[in-house]
Amino acid sequence: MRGWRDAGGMARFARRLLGLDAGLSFLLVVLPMDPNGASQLASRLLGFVATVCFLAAALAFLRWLYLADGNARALGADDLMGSPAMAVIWYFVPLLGLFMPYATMRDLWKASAHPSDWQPASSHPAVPLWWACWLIGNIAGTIALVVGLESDLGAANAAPFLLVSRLASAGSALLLALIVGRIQEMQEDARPTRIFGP
Amino acid sequence: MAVSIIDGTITEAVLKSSRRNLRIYRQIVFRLPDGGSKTWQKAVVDEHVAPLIQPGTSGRFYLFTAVEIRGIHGVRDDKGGAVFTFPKNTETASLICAIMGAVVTVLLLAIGYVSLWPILLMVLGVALYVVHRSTRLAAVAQYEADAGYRPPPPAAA
Repeated sequence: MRGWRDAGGMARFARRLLGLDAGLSFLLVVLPMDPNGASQLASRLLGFVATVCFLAAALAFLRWLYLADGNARALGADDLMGSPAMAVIWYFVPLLGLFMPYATMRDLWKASAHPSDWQPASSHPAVPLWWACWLIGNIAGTIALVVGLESDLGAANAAPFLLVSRLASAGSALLLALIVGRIQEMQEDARPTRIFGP
Repeated sequence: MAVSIIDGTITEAVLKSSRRNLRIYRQIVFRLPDGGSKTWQKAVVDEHVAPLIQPGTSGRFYLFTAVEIRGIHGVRDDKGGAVFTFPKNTETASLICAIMGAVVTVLLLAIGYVSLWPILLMVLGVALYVVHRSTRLAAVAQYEADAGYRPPPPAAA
């Protein structure tokens, strides 16, 4: 089993990007959207920046998740399911990706709070709330895309779904930033009493 | 980690349900040699291993986790008892899923249709089958590699 690896820097970086991602999602909600007006270019540019920011936040978060999952095992939670790599891979597995990332994060929270005997510990309500927001955001976004492509009035019909998608995605990003910060804190609090050496 | 070991004594074993060859425990609590405790919740155990999963059993316990399923597949107790049975139910179910997905995909293709759902079922079945099978093989290797281990006999009262 590998030892402790510092994830504090990656946690801070991921949290900043997640905060920025949430902010851009809110901005896309509140900005007036006029498909024929002068704001069209600005809106598209903002959409592009938001996409780049989302991808960067996702990469930073997955890197942190890999490190944090390994650190929870190094702290004594050696019976966590899968491996640090699997914790990341679940996000890309069809169907199982609807549940396993949540289960992994729930267990990671519990294992960070009580590494030696984590299974009876309870998780935090922010974890299921984060996953619910993530699923709602994705489902609403998919519906918006399908509705937007299908009819002449697609853009108008898709607008409410797009609004829900962006609000849920912003909420999901904020909650994830909170979860990342808290798990990192708990692991760092547990570290000095359990890990010896550098 | 797919397989792990706990040396200790069971202090609590709460059976939740019993289905065919499977016993599902709400929780199993182990007392560790250092005085700490370790709890396993929703643990799946085969009927051949289950008789040793009761308060007072002391020795080495062999455990597995595969996807969202965790359980105990082997025990070597301090009275000389040794038992190993890995529950294969999910591995078999995954294989059936994969085969059903493949059959439905081929049948639909034969009549000129393509559907994403049976393909997803097949991919998922294959992925889960690989995970469960590799966990079972790791469990067998773990138990066999530890064949020489004998837990210390119980201290005289």
